Amino acid sequence: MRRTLMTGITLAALAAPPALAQSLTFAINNLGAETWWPQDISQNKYISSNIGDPLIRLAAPYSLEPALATGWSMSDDGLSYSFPLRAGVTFHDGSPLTPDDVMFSFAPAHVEKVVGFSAIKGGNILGIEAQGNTVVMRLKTPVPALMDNYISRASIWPKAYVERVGIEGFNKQPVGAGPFRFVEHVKGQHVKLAAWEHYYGDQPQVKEITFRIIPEAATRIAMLRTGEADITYNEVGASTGELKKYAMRGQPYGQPAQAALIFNSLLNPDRTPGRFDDIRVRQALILAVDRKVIADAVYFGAASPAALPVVGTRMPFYDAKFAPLPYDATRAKKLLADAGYPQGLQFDFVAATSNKDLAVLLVSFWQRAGIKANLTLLDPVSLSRAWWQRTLQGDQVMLVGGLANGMASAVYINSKSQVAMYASPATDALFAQGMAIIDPAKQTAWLHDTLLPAMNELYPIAPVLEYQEGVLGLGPKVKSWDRFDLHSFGLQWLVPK
Amino acid sequence: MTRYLLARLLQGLMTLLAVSVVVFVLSRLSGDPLTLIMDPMSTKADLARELARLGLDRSYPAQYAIFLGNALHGDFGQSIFFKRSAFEVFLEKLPATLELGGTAMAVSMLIAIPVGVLSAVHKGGWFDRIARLVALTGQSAPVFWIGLVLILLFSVTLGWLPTAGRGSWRNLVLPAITLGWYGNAFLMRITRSAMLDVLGTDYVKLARLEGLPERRVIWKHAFKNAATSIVTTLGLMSISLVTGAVVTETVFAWPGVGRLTVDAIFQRDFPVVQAAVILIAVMVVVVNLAVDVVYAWIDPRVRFQ
Repeated sequence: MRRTLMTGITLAALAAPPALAQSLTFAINNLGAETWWPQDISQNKYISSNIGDPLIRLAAPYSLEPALATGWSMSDDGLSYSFPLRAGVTFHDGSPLTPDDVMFSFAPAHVEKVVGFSAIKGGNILGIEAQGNTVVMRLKTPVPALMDNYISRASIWPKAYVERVGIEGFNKQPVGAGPFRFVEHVKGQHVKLAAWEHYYGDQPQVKEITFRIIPEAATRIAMLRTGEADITYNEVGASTGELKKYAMRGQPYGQPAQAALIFNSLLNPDRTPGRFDDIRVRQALILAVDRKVIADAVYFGAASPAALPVVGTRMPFYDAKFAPLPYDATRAKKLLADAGYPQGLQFDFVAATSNKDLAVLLVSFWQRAGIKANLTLLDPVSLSRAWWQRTLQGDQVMLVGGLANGMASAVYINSKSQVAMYASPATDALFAQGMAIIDPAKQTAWLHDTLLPAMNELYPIAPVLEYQEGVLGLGPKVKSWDRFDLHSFGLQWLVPK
Repeated sequence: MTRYLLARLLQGLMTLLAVSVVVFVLSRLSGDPLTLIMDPMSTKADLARELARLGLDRSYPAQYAIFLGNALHGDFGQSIFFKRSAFEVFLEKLPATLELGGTAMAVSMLIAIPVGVLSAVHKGGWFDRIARLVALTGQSAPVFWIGLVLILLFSVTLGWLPTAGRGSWRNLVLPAITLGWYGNAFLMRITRSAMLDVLGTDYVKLARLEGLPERRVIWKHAFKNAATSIVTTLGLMSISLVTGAVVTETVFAWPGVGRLTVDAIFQRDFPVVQAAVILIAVMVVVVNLAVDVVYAWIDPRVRFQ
């Protein structure tokens, strides 16, 4: 009898949710509009993607994993996707996840409101229907990177609850099926989340997480030092140095990104061919620079020399044979001489004030190789305007930052995207070819077999450094954190002390 | 007096009209917001559709006419970012700024005016020298730097006060000192200067010769006559407290209109930028008008000029 009782107690202890350690504070620069649905590309995702889970998750460094769906399959024409739903999942209000909730969350009327979901807007979702416990989504035209860019970003919300409380009511008290449930929101100040005890996936190990909105990076670091914050999220760069200076742990987080040189003269389809049409000149600008030195000086070791345009070396399809160009000033001078510039080169160079240190060091290295760049610094908004609206004239070179995740980033070299970066038939043809491949396995093969060599050969932009978008500062209450979700941080994998 | 007030009111309205034109033109010059909020996968057709939906595809004069007509009815449009009324968003943040600005102003008045008066009374003495040095530092140090130094000293090193956020009175101390720092120094110098002018006048000398107590001479006879300059300065200060909140609120994560405006500028959220700048301009005009009224009340000569 006693043995049976003990066994019962032991089993009950095993079945009960573990006692969660503590509450942590996460200092973040902003949380977007501070409304949680519709989700968009702003930072409100850090709350909504923890309260709600997607069908498929985008995990770090860059891989798709099942979440509310146990997997997915696609028709040969890329127009139909099936998502078998995970059984036994409940929302935070106790209601079960059903295909109706998925259909509701992806209803065209809802998708239309989401900024940044262009490829599945405008009636591109023809229909979404349930076949047993599987949801089938039918599209009008194929959408490359559907999982990376849309499915993994969109949380599934409980239809009955949203219909009962309305969007406004939902934004006051959001309910999802993610690892954390909503507790409290004080606008402009903080959002408190608590671990959801019945989460279907890995159970969070932190009892509560409070996101505090702290716009100034220096203040966030100060809060980490005082213990007012346990985690901070910062843009990579100076913050990495600050974290190192005070012996605090910095954990790179986010998608692969690049700082790259783009060439204004190549953006205009009616242009007169200029100096930067010659790949030797573009490569000379990279060869002339010791990028390792710059990465250490500006990014405090959190960046490394980039190898290929729009593709980070951390992408799974990357091939190590495409190594970054080395620092070789002699070869840079020779390439310039071969291209018809034995006396060196002079050009106007435009960078954002936020990239000032990087730009100044580039100019300095170029000068040693006989390349004279007249640097103009613009505020980031003005630079992006000049870039996207092509208001700069002539042969300028611009230093910009952008994602480097392969196909999605390849829009930067496609004249048909709104960024309209490159007016080149060769890159347009390449992009069209890639866009036509919908099957993920075939696309991965294409990225490896075609995109990488093409980028190496065409070198349409000159990649300078690569890094991850941000850095997480971890305080003493955090033991470890080594698994991430690229949209929600993956707080369920955060291990406190 | 009525004519004087009407003239001032008219000037205020002209100022607001000019501000509306300037803010409208400047916000458009910085580019359209879609370059920030659209994702790179969207096409030019998507961009055109969003522009049309937001009314940004119309001519600037047409956009301005609509904007002005709506603004007169208190409608500054829907925030592109918050997706609700820009006016409501502004009003939601205003109490935090008024709390911070009001505290900074009160602290400044409590410190700067007595110190300014004492500094003038003890001109050239050690108190005056220290006060002038502090005033000089206050006026030359950037608000941003002051804020970070205060955080490092009182939060990181001593651990006495919280670093950022709004909540208890402890949260208010560092941002209020930071925000009031410049105004404090300015008010102190103006008070000192105004008092020095008055202390040298014949009627103050006469009051002293009559044997009135020094405290009465200073506070009743001298200070009252120096008050016109101080009131004007307080008016200017109240404006600078709202505009200065832009930096202070960012450093201390204070959720007020200053931070809202900065965020809206970077997000190119036109309706919010327009609402914030125009409503702040309205506040400036109202404060200036109030100062003019008080000024005219204190000094009747003003009304007749």
